[in-house]
Amino acid sequence: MIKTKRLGVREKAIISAIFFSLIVVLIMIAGRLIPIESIMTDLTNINQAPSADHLFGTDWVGRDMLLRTLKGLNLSIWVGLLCSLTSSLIAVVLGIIGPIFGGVVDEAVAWLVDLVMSIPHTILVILISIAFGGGFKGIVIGVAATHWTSLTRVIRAETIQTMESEYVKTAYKFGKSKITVCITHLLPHVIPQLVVGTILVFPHAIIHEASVTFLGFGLPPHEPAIGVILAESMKYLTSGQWWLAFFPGLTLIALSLVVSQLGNSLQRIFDPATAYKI
Amino acid sequence: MKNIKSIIALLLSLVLVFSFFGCSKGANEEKSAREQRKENNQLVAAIGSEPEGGFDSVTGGHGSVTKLIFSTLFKRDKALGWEGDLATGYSVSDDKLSWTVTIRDDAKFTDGTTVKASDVAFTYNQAKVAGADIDLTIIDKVEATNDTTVVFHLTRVYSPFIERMGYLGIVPEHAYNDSFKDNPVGSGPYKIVQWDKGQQIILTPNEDYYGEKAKISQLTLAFLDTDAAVAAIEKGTVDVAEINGTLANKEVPGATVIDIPSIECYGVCFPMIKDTGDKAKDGAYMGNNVTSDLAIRQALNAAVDREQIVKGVLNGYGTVSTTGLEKMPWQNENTALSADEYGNVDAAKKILADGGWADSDNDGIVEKDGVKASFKLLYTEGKYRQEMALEFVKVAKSIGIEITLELKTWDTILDEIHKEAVFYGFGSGDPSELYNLYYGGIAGGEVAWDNSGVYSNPKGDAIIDKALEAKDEAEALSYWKALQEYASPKGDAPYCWLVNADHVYLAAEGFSFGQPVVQPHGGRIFDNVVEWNWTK
Repeated sequence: MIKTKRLGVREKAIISAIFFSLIVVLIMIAGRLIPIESIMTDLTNINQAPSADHLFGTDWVGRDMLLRTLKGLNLSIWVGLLCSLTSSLIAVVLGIIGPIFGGVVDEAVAWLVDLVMSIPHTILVILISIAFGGGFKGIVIGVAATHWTSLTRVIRAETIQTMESEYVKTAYKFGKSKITVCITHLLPHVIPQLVVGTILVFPHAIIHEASVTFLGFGLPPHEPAIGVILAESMKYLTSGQWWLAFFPGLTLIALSLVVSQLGNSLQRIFDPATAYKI
Repeated sequence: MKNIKSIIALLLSLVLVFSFFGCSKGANEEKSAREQRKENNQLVAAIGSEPEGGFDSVTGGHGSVTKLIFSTLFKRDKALGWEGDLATGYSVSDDKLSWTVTIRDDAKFTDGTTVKASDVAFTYNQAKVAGADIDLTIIDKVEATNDTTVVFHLTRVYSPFIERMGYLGIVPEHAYNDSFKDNPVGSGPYKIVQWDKGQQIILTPNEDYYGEKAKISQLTLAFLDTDAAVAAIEKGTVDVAEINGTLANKEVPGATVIDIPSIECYGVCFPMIKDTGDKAKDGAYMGNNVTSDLAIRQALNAAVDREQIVKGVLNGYGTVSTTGLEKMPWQNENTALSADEYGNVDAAKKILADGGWADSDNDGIVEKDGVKASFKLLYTEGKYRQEMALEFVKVAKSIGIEITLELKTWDTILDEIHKEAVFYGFGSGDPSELYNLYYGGIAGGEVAWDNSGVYSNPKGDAIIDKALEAKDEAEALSYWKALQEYASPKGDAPYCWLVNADHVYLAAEGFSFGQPVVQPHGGRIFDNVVEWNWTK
């Protein structure tokens, strides 16, 4: 039996990273395994409070809320994954090419970051989502196009710092091209920030997807998305159907915390200051 | 120090407790305000929506609310027949191209002037130019021959023309200007005394109204969403509101549910022709290789359990519909499905099998000639629509048909309106709706949702021609009934009609609508506004 007291920060971080990854993977597998028929209407079973048969109750057309929630979380994870990967890709490209090319290019990157950050997040997500036709595609593009800014700043700062290193300067003196320097000397240095940043964008992305969908600008109302579930449940709260919002809301928060914890754990693993702490 | 904190906490608690008393007293005061309104015969109603374009009946667009301040030539009676409003009679010429209407001479606008035939002619001529929300292209011109006689000259014979004469509110020619929509002058039972845009309209009875005088001495229309309206009724600030069936279960002290049967019908329209890559007149692609097969359409008609939808989606506030014409005098009852002919999954599967559809690759979806039974169902936002569409998808899946839902707006739907199934709400209460739904010639024309499935049966079209060429609605009745031999689930099944949804209201105890007229899609609750009253 492992004694927790003897575990260092790194070991604890690895265990929690594995644990949280497992939860995310389990939700994804469960979401994939739920057949679409099982979240279809069952008009003989509407508005059932939580019970042994329906742990999260049923909605106004008899759909099982546990299965809908799992499907919704699965969808949220996909949105989160796509958004965070796309955001990171944008961030790493802009964060590195700015300092490498310097001058106007770097100023343009900094200006673009400031521009996107100066516009309220949610409004920008809504506008971009509508412009791209809404639905899954619209919301993913909307969230991805607005969540790369902070990570770009972090990667840009790290790149600027690394470019001052002797070995980078030496590489240039040996006649290495900017592309080679970028791939062999700069990119490996920003990977820890990139991984942690990508994971930390994830909960942001799913909360934003849910909130924009809740406002009616995201996924269509027949999709089993958490934002849709929460928005529609509002109509029934005054009739006493508390379970329609309670469980899906709770699980969304839990999922966000889980992914956030995963990011924090990885940060501890990558950070030299905490990696070997006892 | 600790004591001081305790005293402050106690004081704050007391303030909190008294604030609750304050709230409670406020609510009682609101309730007594309702009692006051009852005594004064005043009413606050959260019914209908504020007309975005103002109260200009020439451009229409605000449906039933128009009835409060404008008169029409004719109006529907309580059995879906016609009776005169401003009109005292009409005659149709031998060539059926001229309709002569006589109007009463005692009707006055709220500015004191008499309603003349010239005002009627002006209203229709103006609406034709301004582009009203009804099709007036059948009108060539309208002319007043004297103060009480107006003649409508038509471009073609059109037996249901009386409907057009029952739609537009008559406006005074002398007072019609750019600001008319904000300061309307009509000859209806009420007149506007105050309009707080975005909030409410306050109306009082028109003292010069020629008909039965309104019993409610002050009618306030508050523009609230359904949840806010229900809360306002509970609080006592609103007396009656339109709700949906699902909210009817909520117990609101001092209020009762009023259930008004309607002919507002919901159903799914199928594209009726094969997809050959052709475009309709409006430029949108048309045709669907799955829904164009009769077996698919008849199987869906047989499979859907309408009773279950009435019970589960409408919460019991509605009735089964298989023709879209239930309760209407022009329905051919022989063409409706009986209770054992729908909600029958086995029968539906047999129809599919007999039609050559089989699941040969065991994926749960039937196919025929290499085409999988899979198509989209487009729906728009609206009361009950999503729920009914979800149930339709489920039933279809149970017989091996895969339907993908897609939410659209009435703008974004246009590209696919002729090539995918569309969820509609109809039920205007006029037989000419059959022309709009099933006449081959109008598909893909000026109005995209008229016969959006591009249905065309030469025999049916010929019958519709005869119905339109009849002298009037009475003469056309037999043709409208005959049409349903083809345009019904027992014929070509161009639609899968589902239910008629009742119009449900939550009203303070003691309020009565009187006897409302038959409620069509969109409602005509204001048609009998003069009968609304407090009974106790």
